[in-house]
Amino acid sequence: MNFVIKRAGLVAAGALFFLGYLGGCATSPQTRLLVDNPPNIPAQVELIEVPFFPQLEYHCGPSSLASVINYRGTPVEPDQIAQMIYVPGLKGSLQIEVEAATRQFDMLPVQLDGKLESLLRELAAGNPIFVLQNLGLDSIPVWHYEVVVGYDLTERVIILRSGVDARVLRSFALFEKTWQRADHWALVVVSVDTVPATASADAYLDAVIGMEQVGRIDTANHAYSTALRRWPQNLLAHTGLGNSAYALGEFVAAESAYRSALMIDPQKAELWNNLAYVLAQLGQHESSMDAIGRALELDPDNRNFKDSYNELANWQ
Amino acid sequence: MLVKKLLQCLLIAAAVIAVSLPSRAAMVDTAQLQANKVVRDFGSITAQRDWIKEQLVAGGVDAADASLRVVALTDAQVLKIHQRIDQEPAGGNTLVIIFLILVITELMGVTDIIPNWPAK
Repeated sequence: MNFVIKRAGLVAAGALFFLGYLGGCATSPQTRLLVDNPPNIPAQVELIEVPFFPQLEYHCGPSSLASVINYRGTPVEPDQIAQMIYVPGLKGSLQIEVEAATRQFDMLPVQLDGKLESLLRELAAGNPIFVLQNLGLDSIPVWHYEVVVGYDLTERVIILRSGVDARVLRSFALFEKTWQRADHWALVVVSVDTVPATASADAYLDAVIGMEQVGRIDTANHAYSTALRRWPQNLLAHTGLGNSAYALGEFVAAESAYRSALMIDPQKAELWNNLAYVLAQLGQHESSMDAIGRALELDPDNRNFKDSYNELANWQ
Repeated sequence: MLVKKLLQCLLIAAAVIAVSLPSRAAMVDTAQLQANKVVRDFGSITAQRDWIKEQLVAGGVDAADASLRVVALTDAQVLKIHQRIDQEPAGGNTLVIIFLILVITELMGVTDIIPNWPAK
């Protein structure tokens, strides 16, 4: 008996030493930054309207996603989402499937930049955040999806919907550690008329291009317009607007989008190529040949443009 | 009823047109223009999708569901996950843990497996 207790003591001492090495010395630089330079946002925010779905065993992914999707006004049960993202063998859900499922609801999964301050800014703008956490250690991971619904700058706590708890408080410092162990992974789920407060153009367009790629063209088209309201000079957004309009058969809109893009960068050969196609669709054969000519001038050896030239020359 | 059926057919037809239009023409798609992000090798991406589907089915996902789920992934996502599916974090709160160590880390406030405990 004594021996067992002694052994436990030894293990504990060993574990403590190990931890000192592993995580005990870990600091929370972002928390310190926040405390030293508090951002210009309300001291407390809590999005109490974010619905809570207590999770079934291992179903934190479906419950958390159901929470943010319902918040945007589309009713869905965690069970339905489980069918889209849960993998029984993994006892969990993969991040890429979380994003894929979000698109199925015509909502954009937009990645945040990994800054604690950005989470708070999103909350202040009314956006709950879907996060991955590693509640354990790097060497003993305990993966968990949660929804961040609030913060308190004075108390220095994050407020979460987590597992079977509708309201969990976690200190900034601890949250920073558990989040950092999950690579600061965070999504804001928005409908196509909204850009998350802190999203970069790249992160937002990444989500929109994903939508376009899986064939939700109409949704993507709408989101490209939204992107252009925030970033009017973004070449990729103009191009995406043109491509999605073209795919929808809205050729006049497509032409106008490509021309706007070419005003920003007239040297972009791909845009001349695509403009050539839209002009062909509009029955403007001569202008179409001019446009593909411009693409070939800029990039004479491009096989794709040569194919385009041949196809457009024989356009019916 | 007939109207509803017709409407469905129309929707399907519209979807097919939407997808087939750009492929007819040598259009450059948006993902290609996004700097160096997409490998234009459809053959290998299709094979990788099949592989992911096999993994999902092996993981206990219904085969019909797995087909739908794989289609919902973008090329970039397929490339990201391929051959690493078992190394990815899968959020699910798996409690296969070394209990003693984690109790101590909880007390130290380094982990948070038991929410709201100890009181913070």
